[in-house]
Amino acid sequence: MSDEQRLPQQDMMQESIDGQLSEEMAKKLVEVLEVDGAAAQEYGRLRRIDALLKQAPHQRAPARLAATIMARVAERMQAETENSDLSPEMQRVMMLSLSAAMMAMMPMMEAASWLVLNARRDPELLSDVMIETIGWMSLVTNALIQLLDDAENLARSEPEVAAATLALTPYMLSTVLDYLGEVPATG
Amino acid sequence: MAEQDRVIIDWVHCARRGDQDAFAELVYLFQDPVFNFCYRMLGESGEAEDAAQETFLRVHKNLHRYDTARPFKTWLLSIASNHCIDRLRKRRMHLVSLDDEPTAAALALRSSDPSPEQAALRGELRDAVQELLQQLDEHYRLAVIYRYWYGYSYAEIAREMSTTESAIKSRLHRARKRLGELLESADYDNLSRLADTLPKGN
Repeated sequence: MSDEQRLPQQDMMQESIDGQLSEEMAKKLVEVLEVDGAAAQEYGRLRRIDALLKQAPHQRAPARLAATIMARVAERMQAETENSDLSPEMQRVMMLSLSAAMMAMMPMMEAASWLVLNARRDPELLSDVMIETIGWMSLVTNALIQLLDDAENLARSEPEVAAATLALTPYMLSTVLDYLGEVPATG
Repeated sequence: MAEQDRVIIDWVHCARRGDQDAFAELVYLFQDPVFNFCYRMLGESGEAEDAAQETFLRVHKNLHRYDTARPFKTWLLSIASNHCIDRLRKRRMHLVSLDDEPTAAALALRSSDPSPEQAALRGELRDAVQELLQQLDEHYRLAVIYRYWYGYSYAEIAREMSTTESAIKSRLHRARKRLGELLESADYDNLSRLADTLPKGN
C-alpha cells in the first residue's frame, strides 16, 4: 500500500476542501464517501463551513482610523524631537563622554570609601570626614550636571566644541582627585 | 519584485527617514487588512480599532527592523497577530469571557428570530461568522483567519505560527470540524440555512 493510499480520510477531506487533493485521490475520496455515511456527513459539514468562511466579508477599517494613527505618530515624533534635537552622532558622543566621566568618578568613590573606613574608629573624625566627603561628592556631581547642560546647549550651535568640553570632563575629575589625594590621611 | 512591492519598499525607506507622508501611504494601504485581522481575532470593533492603531504605532517604531526581503504585509500581520494574542491573554487574566454573553449580532441570528431577507442575512453573515470564530481557541482561530481572509498556504501559516505544516493541517481540520458542529446546533439555525444557499465548489 502506497503512502497516498494510507492517507487518512481526514487528510483527504482537508486537502479536497483546500483544493490540494490529486485527481486520483479525489476519486478515492468519492468512493469512500459513497460507502461510509458518517464520513459523507462529516465531509458535508466541513464543506458547509468552508463555504461560509469563504463568503465572510473583509471588515473595513473605520474612516477615522488612518487619521487617528497619523495623529498619534505625529504626536510621538514631536515628543521625541522635543526630548532631543541632537543628531544621533552627537547623542552618541555625549553618551560616550558621560560614560568616561562616570568611570573617572570611580577612583574618587574609592578614595571617599577609604577615608570613611579609616576614620570609623573616631566618631568625631568620622563626622568630619563624612561632611567633607559629602561636600566633595555634591560639588563634583553639581559640576558634572552643569557641564552636561552646558554641553547640550553648546552642541546645538557648536557640536565640536561641546564634544571637546565633555571629553575634558574626566580630566577635570582627575584634577579633583589629585587635590583630594593631597588631603592628609587620617586614622 | 512587483511594482507595488517596490513602491511599498520606497515608502518604508522614506518613512524610516522620518517622512510622515510616506508612512501615511502605508497606513492607507494596509489599514483595512490590519483592522479586519484584529477584528477577526478580537471579535469587537472598538477593541480591533485600538489594536490596529497600536499595531501601526509598533510598526512605525520598529521600521528599522523590517527586513525588506520579506513581504511588508506579512510582517505587518505578524505584528498585529502578536499584539492581538497579547490582548487576548490580558483579557483572560481579567476573567472576561465572550462565551458568557453572546453578542447582540449573534442573538439576532438565533433560530427564534424571524428569517430575514437573503440580502440582510448577507450583511449579518459578517457578525455571525465572527461569533462562531470566537468559539475557537486563539491558535485555531489564527490559523483560520490566515487561511480564509489572507489566503496563506499551510507552509506560510506554519512559518508565521512557528510550527509544522502537519500541525497547521490538523488545526484547520479541527477548527472546521468544531465550526461545522456549532453550525449544526440549534443556536445557529438561520446561519445554517444561509450556509446551505452558498456555493460549495466542486
